[in-house]
Amino acid sequence: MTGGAAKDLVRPLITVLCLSALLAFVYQQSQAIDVERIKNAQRLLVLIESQQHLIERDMLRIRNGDLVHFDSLKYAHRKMLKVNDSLLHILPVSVRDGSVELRKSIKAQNLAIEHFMSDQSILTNSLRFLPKAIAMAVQKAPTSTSQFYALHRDVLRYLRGANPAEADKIQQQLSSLSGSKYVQRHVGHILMRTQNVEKAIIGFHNADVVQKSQQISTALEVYLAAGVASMHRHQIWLIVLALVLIVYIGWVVWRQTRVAHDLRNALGLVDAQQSALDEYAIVTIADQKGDITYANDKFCEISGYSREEVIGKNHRILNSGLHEKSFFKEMWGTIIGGQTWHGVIQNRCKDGSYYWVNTSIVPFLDEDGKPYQYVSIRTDITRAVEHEEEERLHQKKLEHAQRLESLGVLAGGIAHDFNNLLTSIMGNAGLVDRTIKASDPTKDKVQRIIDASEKAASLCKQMLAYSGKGHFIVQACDMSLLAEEMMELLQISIDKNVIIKYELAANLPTINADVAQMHQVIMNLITNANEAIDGNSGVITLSTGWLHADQAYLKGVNSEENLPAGDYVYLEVSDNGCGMDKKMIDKIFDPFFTTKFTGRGLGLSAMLGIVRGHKGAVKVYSELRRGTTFKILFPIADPNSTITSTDETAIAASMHVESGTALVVDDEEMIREMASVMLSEMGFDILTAANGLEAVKLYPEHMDKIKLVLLDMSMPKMDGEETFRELRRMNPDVCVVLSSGYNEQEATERFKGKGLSGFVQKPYLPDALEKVVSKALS
Amino acid sequence: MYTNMLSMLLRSFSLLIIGCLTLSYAWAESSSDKLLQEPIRPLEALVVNAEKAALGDLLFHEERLSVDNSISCAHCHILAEGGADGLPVSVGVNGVKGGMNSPTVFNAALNIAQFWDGRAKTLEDQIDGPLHASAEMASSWPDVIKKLSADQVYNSAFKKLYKGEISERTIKHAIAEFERSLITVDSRFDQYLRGDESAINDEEKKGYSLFKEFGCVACHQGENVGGNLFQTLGIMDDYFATYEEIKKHDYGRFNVTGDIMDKHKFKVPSLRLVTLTAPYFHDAKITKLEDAVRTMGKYQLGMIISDADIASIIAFLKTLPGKHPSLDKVQ
Repeated sequence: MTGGAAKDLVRPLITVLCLSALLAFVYQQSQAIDVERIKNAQRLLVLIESQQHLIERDMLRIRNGDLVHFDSLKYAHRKMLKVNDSLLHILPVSVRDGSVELRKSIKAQNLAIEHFMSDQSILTNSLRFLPKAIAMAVQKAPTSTSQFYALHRDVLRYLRGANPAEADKIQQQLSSLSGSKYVQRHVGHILMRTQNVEKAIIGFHNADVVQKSQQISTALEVYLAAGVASMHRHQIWLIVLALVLIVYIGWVVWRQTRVAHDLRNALGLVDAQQSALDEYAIVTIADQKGDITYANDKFCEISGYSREEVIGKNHRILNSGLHEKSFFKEMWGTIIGGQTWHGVIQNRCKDGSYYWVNTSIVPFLDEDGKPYQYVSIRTDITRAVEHEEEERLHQKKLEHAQRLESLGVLAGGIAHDFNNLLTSIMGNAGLVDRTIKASDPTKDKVQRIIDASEKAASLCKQMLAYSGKGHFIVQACDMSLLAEEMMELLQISIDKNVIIKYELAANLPTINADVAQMHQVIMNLITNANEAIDGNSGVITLSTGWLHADQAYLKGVNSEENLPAGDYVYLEVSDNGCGMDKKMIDKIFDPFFTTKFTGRGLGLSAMLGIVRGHKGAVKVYSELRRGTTFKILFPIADPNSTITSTDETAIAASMHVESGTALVVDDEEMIREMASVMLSEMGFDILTAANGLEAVKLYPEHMDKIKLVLLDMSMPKMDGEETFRELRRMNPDVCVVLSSGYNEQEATERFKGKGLSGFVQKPYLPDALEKVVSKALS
Repeated sequence: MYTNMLSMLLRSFSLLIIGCLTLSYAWAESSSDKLLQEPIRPLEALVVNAEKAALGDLLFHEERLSVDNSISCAHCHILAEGGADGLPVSVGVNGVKGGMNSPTVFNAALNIAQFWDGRAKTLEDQIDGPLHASAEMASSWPDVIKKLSADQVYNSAFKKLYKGEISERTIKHAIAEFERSLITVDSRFDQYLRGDESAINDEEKKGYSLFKEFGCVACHQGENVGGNLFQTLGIMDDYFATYEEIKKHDYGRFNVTGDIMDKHKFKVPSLRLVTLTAPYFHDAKITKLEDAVRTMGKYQLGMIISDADIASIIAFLKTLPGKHPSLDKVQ
């Protein structure tokens, strides 16, 4: 991240630095011309020129005798020397070479000035002395007077032109004139010094310093002009570069502001998104190690941790222990590789409770593609998961119930058909039995037929009971008393090594139950417990009591749907036998499931049906090799509920002859035949109908004669219920006896308050039919 | 009545003014005429920086300029006695004798060059000579600078005047500035030149006219009565004929220019303080002024000057030394 920021900074910085350096260089170049120095050099050259004129003039003046001292030449000489020195330093390097000649000339000129001064002073003196010397010489040698004057004249003439030919002539004159040491001397000096002075003046002049100085001056001008031009050019470049720099900086600044603006907008958007996200989701950010660097409010709310408690800690603190190591390994593998991981995790709150989250973990990658932080976004789905779990359980229960129900339907259907056949068998056997005398040897055989049929009937009853459609005789009973009554019977049913302990509660609230079925239930349970102990020594505990079951408790029971919370009487049978595992517990109530070698596997399913029919519940606890407990719950009897009970014994078994017609309605021919025989023996005339429609057609024709209708419940075209309704419409006082293989309770339920006269359970013996008919007609 | 008197007063006053002006103009004219014509000109003080000159004064008397802190400039150029040391040759460090007669420092600023052979173009250049010469101060600039830098007085002085720079350049400049202040102005002869006829007596006037007539003035001219040209020593006769040994320095200007014509040429000394600075000539062979005059006459002019004339000339020469605060011996 810092690397990128640095790169962003480096480029414009380097550009600015380069431009600035260039700017500085150009500025420096533009200042390269030292105009002042060149002006000084020019002044110097002008000075040289004026000095030159002055010196030459003064030399001539002195020569002419107009100037009588050398002070001006002294000053000029000194100045020229000074100038000559300065010239080297003051001129720009490119022009210095041109000044070498000038400086040499000036040096030569200075020497000329010195020589001029020394020669001129001697010349002056000799010229002054000559007249006196000539006079002295004439005085000494009067004969040579004219020669001396001639000499003097020639010397003076020579002075005017310094003609070398004249000098020679004078020399000759000198040599011819003897004596006069002074004349010789002074003329000699005059000749020599005059020449020297001329040489000096000419030499000075020919040095041509003025011209040389002017050349240099011109060169300087050119140099200056070039320099100024260059300076102007550089100044233009300076301005251009400065503008470029300003523009560049301006552009960078503009770009920066735009970026800043965009950034502000983006940040604003991100902020808004973040707050929205925080409202909805749990967000945490962790570093590469998984240590939490940020947690939003929702996280704290859901997990129960405060932000301070969680920042810096590793995500592991949320580990619920549910998921395997491989789960997290896979998760880390995905996110380290730079991929987003989605999944569902169970986490643990601070207080130890659990919550489910739908999680997405997004790795944030740096420039090298490596994750530097992980952002987790989660939504709390605990309720959904729990619901799902509930749903699943519910579905399972439903399926189970559906399975059982379909089995029940199957069983019920079979039982029903079976019942009808049995009715025929048993009925006819009964009829035959009546006609056979006791001494007849076939009576035994017929009795055996009846016994077998009764056994078959009880089996059917069991099946019907399992399917919940058995015949109940419901009455108020005390579970404890009931159990007590069975003690002896139970004792005989168990193995020798097994003991039954009784813990029967006193003053148990009554329940509404079918006593026989209760017996069946208890017997079934004790038998199973006994067989679980399986020959070892063991203890079976039979206890009764009552409890308050709330919804939570009722959730785990095997029962009809939605048992209400409330007070329940329980019957509990425990053993310390072999116990069951979970898989077995699920199966035990399935019909035709058995672990016994000899067994039809209907016992517990029948029991369940009975319990359910009583609006009760079964709870099973078991542990392998430890034991099993069955707890049966029955709702406490509501004193307000009406109990329909039919007491067979209450009815006097009176056989009296009836008269009138009986209408037998049943879809089975055998049943019709048999019932017709039974009823005709009772004295009825018989009319039959195969289904409800026929019955309804027949009835109005013989309504006044028909005293009794024996109506089957389940028929095609028009069933019992509908037929009954029709008949009643035709005759509100019609006497109808319902016959069915099903549970009386259920069957008569639908006819409650509708004036059903009686009910006979199939299969029935003639006596049973007679009893019911008699009661109905009375 | 009053107006009459006033106007009369005014008239006479203005007449007086005019008269005075005319007279002074005439007088000035005459004196300027004289100045124009005369080969010798009066001395005028040079413009110097007084503070720097004062520092130069200090340095001029500073013995630390010599290697063993014993010799200062003033050692050979004793200001109170005319700016020279009165010795044939000067004595330097460790008593080593120099080669030539030290000239006077007074009015040296007006010379065409410094040293007998004119090898130093400026006063500043001249300082290098004695400073380095083993027979004189035998020192070196780094040494001098170190010694001076250690002195708080010089530190503060140089800080004030030369921005704290104690270097060869600034030391030289200070000393030279001091030397430039050593102009002996307002001598009696200068007063005479400026128009004061009574400044010199007849004898001295006679001496001056002889000085001109004999031709001394051909070389000893200008404001410094000499010092502004080089001249051969021995024009009319060979000065060095009596020498046992001609040394290198006897070749004078030739040592500097290399021109054969410059053999035995020396800078013509100034005669301004000649009456104070015996011995004379580069070899200091002559100690008496009379003898110096006589020698000059013989070798330079080719004449024998009578004693009386010599006396007159000397009388003239005595009018030449000007005034300066450092100069005690003014006749």
